[in-house]
Amino acid sequence: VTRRSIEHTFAATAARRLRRVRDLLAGNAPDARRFLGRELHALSGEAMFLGFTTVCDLVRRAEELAAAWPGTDDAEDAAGPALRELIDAIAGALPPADTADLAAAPRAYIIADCVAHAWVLRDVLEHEGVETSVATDTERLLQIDPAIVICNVSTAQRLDPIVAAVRAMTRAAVVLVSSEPLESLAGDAARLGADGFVSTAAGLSAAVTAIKEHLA
Amino acid sequence: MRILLVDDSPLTLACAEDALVAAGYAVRCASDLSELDGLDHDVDLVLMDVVMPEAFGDDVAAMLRGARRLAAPILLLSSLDDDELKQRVAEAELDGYIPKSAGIAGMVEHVRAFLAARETGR
Repeated sequence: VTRRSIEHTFAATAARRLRRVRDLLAGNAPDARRFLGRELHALSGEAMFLGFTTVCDLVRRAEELAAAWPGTDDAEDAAGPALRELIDAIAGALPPADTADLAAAPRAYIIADCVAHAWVLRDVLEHEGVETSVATDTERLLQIDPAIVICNVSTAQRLDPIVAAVRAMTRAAVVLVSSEPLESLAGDAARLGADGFVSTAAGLSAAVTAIKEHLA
Repeated sequence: MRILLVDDSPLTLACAEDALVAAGYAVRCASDLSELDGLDHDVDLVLMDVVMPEAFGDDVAAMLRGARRLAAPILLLSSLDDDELKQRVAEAELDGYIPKSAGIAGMVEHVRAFLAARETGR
């Protein structure tokens, strides 16, 4: 293990953790505060152990702010915006990653009614080498520019405008994901002109395989 | 010498394992309780992270000592501050701690010194 390889791996790991932190700050997940604290503590520990002192100091400050964050994006609360600023500063302090490697990774964007419900799917996709962001809306779609958008949205009132917005904003493949049986998903997919539909009823690994086929 | 390393961060595990193996130790790694459960606990030293998603490392250490009758010394390896680590070590009756601020090389030195002191004390 060389210093350069540690820097590269740390940068990639930290970027992934920061993305999760941003997802948590933007979402409405139950227990968001606890998960936020966990991600930041893991990052500060890694930074400290591997000798990235500046990053460690910044993350420690973020941990302190996170303890004051109410867990929802409350307009009255100052901790959320301050945390976002600090997350940007941490991202800027990371060692340079091998951007060619990072850019080569396919990116997925999951839009879910509740981000916490999509975390397991995100973790499995990331384990498979797909960089995955989770959000409740299309706000960061242009910024992330994913190859695939996975919609885990339960009502047509929300699903229809989301798919229309995704179609207008990107050329990404759109796949509907639900725990509903395939037959009911097929109707929605046909009506919306989605590129595919995946049911998690048959297990998560089957769903991930189907999503990867769409990515390919 | 065999070392059991427990930490939920794959990056920390990989770097610590690499450094300890390079220093001549045989290392077994666990990133969660199920992995820990599947490992042979017949080791000469345990290095245990503290803040992990499923449990605190000092509680896991106490479980290893009690239910598993682990005789090997256990050191906490953590980014928590010294005062908190001292308290956790005392409360769980562990053998000491290594602050993560020691870095990779510092961790190896702590391990070497700790094991050498135990050998001398026998």
